[in-house]
Amino acid sequence: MSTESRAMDDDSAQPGAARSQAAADLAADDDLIHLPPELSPFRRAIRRFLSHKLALAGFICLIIMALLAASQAIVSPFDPEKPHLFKVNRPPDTVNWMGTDQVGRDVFSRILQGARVSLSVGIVAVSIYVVIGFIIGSIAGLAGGYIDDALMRFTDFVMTFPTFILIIILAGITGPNIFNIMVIIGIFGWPGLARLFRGNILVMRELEYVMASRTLGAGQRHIISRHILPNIVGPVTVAITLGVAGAILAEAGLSFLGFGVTEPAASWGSMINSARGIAFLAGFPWLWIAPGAAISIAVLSINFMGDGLRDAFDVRGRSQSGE
Amino acid sequence: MTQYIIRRVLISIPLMFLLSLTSFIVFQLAPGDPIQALIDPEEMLYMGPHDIEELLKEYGLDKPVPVQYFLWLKEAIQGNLGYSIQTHNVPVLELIIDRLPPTISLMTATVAVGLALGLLFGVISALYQYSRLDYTLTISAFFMLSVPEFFFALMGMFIFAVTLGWFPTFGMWTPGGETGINWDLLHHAVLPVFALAMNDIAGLMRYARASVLDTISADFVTTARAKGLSERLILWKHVFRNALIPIVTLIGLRLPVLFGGALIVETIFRWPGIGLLGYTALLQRDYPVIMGVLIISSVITLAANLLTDIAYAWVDPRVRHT
Repeated sequence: MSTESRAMDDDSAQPGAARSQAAADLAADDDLIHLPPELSPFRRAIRRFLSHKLALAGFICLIIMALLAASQAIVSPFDPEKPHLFKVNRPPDTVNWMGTDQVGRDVFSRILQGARVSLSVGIVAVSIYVVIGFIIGSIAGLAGGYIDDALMRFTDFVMTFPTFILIIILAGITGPNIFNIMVIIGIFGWPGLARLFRGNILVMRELEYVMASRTLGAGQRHIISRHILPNIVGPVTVAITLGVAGAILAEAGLSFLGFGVTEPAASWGSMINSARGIAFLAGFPWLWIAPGAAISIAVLSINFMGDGLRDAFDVRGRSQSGE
Repeated sequence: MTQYIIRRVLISIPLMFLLSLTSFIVFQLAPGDPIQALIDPEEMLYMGPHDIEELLKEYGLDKPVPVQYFLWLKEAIQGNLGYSIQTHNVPVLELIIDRLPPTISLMTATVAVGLALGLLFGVISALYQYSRLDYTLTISAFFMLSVPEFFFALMGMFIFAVTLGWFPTFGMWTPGGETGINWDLLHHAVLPVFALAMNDIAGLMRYARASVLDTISADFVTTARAKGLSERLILWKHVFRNALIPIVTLIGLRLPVLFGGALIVETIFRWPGIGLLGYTALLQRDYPVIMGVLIISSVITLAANLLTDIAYAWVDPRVRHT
């Protein structure tokens, strides 16, 4: 899978002489002999992640985006909300790298402002639903019986609801504002995570070392914090990563329909929304291609990262993850 | 089998109830007074508090909210979803029934395209695992999952409708032309269907690939091979049947997402379905229509889930007995 492990396989397959030479080298360096067993599962996961090229590219891309978003006030070449009526709808040039919009605002500066909105909506919305999912999933998994049944039926219900329609309606009713958007996306995203927590708790409760721990008199809290949580860090990290991508897409969709972030502030979705007419579509394509590409690159980076994390944490077994 | 169907239908009833309750609560959250929305503001000037009280009584709005809910539910079950405020008291149900066929046809076509291409690419990807083709398909799947449908729609419109002129930019039929199921409809449907189907193609492809790879290494396939069956027979009779049938259930699960996507695509291509209806109603704050759209799309999702579950139990006997 990783180039490194492949290299090791090759080594072991080499004929006697080279192999004993390698063994001698290893023996000469005491640290090296002990290196593999000393790697913690977490460090091994990091290593595997780093050897996943697309995931690494996605991660780097995301870090750059996050840095640009965080330092937006400093790096932004122009004021993203200041109209400039003498240069309206200019195509990209050396001054305005991505052109200017209908009222002469710099598209690149607005993309940077949009990055702030998208990334923060993604992170806050997912944080909200991780908490809800954790609470519902662990109550269901630990309580069992009727409580479990009722909670899981409810989870199924939320999953079959056309959530995005409900999100649009709620956003339309409560009024466009970034805080509402975060909460509304957050309160509908939890079912997958709730199932994940519950499923893992059910499986792990029956594991031998957990039973041993319980036999030795460990309490519920000890078992959760010492045995169960560390073991679900992997799947949960993957779910969170992919969740952020989903939340960013949801926010973009909402803003695109005009129920998200509104003027003069920019979000990627709302930038496309204001360039929707056929005249803009054909005449000033940079107005919608730039934010559309920004959304796509952000989501793609996160998805690549999620895939890398899945491999790294060995979620679903490495054999079928297909490198 | 009958028993399974009965049980599955019974489970749906409380879900329906919960669904109606959710819709009612959402509606209660909406700002504004239903009486004010109903009456001409000019007429309102001549009305005393007494008149308004009488109207409230007439519409049952003087009763406590839980009672209002049951009154509303009683009407809704009988098919009365209220009247549209904007279009001068056309029944909501009538509006929705008018707009349903375009949405249903858009979504059916999308699912069909998604299944056909998704399964095809998934199987190819699995059979040529780790080949260059497999990598290309897998990476394209990531793109298709990451690019939002409205960006696909706009790009499709820009490239194929505006620049190349191959397809019309919006509507279902050429204005003034014949309506009905014809070539013109198909011509208009290509861009919206593909914009909407990208996500499904990619998702189903990933599932199909994993599922085929899983099945190919299963013991019964090895047995079949040991028996000396031809590779083609193994693939068609053993691998594809077992690997691809479970994917049927995914359609039910994707439907809620598809409704959201259809709404966006319908607004872009002016496709006159319930998504476009709901969107315009939301812009006009026509709450009865919005409610109707929410309820109908949820009922369809629930019904479709019911059908996929039953279909799945029919093809896979193990499901029935658990």
